[in-house]
Amino acid sequence: MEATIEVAGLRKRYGQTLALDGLSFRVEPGMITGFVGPNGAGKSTTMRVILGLDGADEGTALVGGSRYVQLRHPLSQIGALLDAGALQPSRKARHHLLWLAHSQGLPARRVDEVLERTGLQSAAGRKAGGYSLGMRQRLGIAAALLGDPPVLMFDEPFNGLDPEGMAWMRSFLRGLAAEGRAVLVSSHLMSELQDNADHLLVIGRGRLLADTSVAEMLASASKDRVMVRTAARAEAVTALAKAGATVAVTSHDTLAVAGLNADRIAAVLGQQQVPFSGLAAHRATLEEAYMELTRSAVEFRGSHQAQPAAAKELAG
Amino acid sequence: MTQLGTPYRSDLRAGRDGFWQVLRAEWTKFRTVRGWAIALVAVAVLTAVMPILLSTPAKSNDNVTCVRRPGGCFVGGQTIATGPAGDAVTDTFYFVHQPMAVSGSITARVSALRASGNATGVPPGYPEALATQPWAKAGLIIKASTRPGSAYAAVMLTGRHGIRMQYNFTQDIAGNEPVASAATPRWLRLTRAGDLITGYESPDGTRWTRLGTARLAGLSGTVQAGLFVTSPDFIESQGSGDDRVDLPTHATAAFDGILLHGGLADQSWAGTSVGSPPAGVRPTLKCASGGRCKGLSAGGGFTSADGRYVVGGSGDIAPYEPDVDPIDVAFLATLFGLITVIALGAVFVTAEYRRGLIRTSLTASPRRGRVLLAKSIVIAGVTFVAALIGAAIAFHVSEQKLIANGWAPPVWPDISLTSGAGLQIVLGTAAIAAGASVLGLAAGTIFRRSAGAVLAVAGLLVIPFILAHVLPLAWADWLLRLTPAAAFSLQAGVRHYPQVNTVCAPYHGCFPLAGWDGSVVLAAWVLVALAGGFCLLRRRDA
Repeated sequence: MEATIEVAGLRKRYGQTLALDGLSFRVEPGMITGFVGPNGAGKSTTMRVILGLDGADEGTALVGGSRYVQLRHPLSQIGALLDAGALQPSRKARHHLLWLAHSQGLPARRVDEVLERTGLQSAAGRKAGGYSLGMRQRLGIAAALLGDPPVLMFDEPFNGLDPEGMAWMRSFLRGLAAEGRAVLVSSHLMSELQDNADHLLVIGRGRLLADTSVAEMLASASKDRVMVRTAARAEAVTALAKAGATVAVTSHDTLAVAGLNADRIAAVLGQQQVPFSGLAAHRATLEEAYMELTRSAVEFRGSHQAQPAAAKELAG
Repeated sequence: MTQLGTPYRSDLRAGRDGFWQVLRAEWTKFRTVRGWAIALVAVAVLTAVMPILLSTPAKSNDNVTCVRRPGGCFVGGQTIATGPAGDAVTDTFYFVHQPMAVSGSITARVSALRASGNATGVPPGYPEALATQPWAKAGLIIKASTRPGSAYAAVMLTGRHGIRMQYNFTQDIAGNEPVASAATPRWLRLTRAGDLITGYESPDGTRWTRLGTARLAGLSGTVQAGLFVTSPDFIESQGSGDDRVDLPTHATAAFDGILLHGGLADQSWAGTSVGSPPAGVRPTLKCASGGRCKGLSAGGGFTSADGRYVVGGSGDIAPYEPDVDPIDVAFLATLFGLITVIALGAVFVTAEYRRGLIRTSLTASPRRGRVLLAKSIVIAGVTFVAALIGAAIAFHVSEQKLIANGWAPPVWPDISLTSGAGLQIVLGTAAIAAGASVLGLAAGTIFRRSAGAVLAVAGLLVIPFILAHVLPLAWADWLLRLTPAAAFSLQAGVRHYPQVNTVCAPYHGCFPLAGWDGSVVLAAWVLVALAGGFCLLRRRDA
């Protein structure tokens, strides 16, 4: 069996809150699996359950086929970064890695290796309390890499990073996956994973909403639309609807048309002599697909809730 | 659809995965936080310095210093002799004796042991001072000589502790059969074969039960054998020990059926008041306004008629226990270091809870019991060593200061660092520190906050010990039996014996559970706290 993460039927309740509600998924090696969902969807809880930190009420979470507590040298099986701030501020970064190395029977040389890999050698002698958030993220990743594990799990690694740090993190994660490791990265923002993840696990209210590749999600979640700019809005809507398109009014002079491609729209409008000043194909973004998926799962919905309904009405 | 990559294979050689690795990790954790190392040094310094500061009382007064006069050393009118083992002893009794050869025996029937003497000087509220004292003694004794402190073995009827065989002051063997009252006649016998003395008792003079044997080193040639009666001071406190009343008592007993084998020719019974201080140092009985009385009416005597001897005496044949245990009082100051130790133990785990680092620890070592155990061993080890160094310095310096200030032998035991008591104080202080640190750690695991943990442990260990010094003795007794503060018995420099009547207060170095017995209570608390911490650590989500 490949060393991966397998989660089956996880259920976890904190008091009145159902944090995980029958969650099942599998993380494959050699790729970055994005673990996305709104805040409070259960991402961190899932990760804590995988690491044996929190107990699940039901279901199993296996790492390389074993429950975490049964792992020998756990850090050589799976490396995790849950909270970059989990450091003793007065302990030097190098010493933080050293005690972790000792706990796994790893030599001190290994500490230097991961410090080098994460670009922290020069700052290793400084106290962790003086580290910036970006450096703490790197230190957390260095700790996760100590045991050179085939599975890695990072909880919100992009949080609080500056653009430079973000770019570094992206290429770093990419490199880890390219080595054949299974990399599970959580985020509450799809934009952080958009160009990075190979596979997506979308979670909302403790339930898996999608377990799909990025390409599939893009293709399935949202149909391509064509934006039509026209001064004769009403006529255009009538003509296009008659031709079988679904039309939504997006502003005083633009329509979003689905169900017809741009050529066909141009033909229909030309036939009916409706003037238009522009046609633009609009590709759905991953963000939109994600919003659509998680809309019902967002626990505290904002005022934008009414918008889809309004759009549908107009489309008639 | 993305394709599966080739799964990653590490060429990193896996290290060992065992308890040793967890222990090493915890040690690395401890030594890499400078603040904790500083706290540890503070523990050693506080443990060393505070007792030294407290061990400089004013030069001790008459009540504690040995007054040297012809005839020996006297404290408060009491003769302090040196026993065969070199310890200070009380050896004051009335002795009706004859010489005895290398082998022989003495038999007699003892009856009517009861208090005698007048009630002068007894403050109101202490009627027991006039009753037969529990450790009043009447019986037979074979003694190397009439010199106080010489080797002896004796069988006796006591006021309330039945038949006993005692020898060389510290040794005490209880008889098998309980005695209805001190007035019940009992037959007693002592036999001598060289340096081996055997004691017997009998209800009727025909059926004899052996009580025990005593080998008195160096007992050779002629010794003194005979009858003795003595009755120790009545000592009581109805409060916390400051209101101590100390009154001399006197007892008489009747002896008949006396049979002496191995006696020398042409000898008759002679009466000696052994250990009675000369008139010059014998204080008159004084009662302070608060009811404190101190003094000793010495002496005694005997009468005989038709082979029946009535003997009266006062005093005690027992180890000498000083009223104050100066080294114990000095070592009270180790409490300062102990608070630091408790805080250090708590912070060793609560710092991880505070930062969420506990999750990293439990991820690295998912078997949580191992983490708690490793932490306990590390914190106990480092605090033990720090406190040991501090206590050794504190002991060495304060003991010298105390001796220079008159807290010296023979009244006060000369305890050196390497002797039993000194070693026990120093090792005991270190052991208490180690236990306190693990209590702090366990409480930190339970509460996950240092403030609560330190308060809880201080409330269990430190506060009861302080209260035991101010509360009535009956309450103090329970505190020092039930709370982990029982372990402070390890810091006692004066040894207490059950056969010596005393006010058992902590500042006398007296604890209801003596010596290492007290540390068992601390150990039990440590185990219970660790078990509680373990259960919560295992059950709770991290």
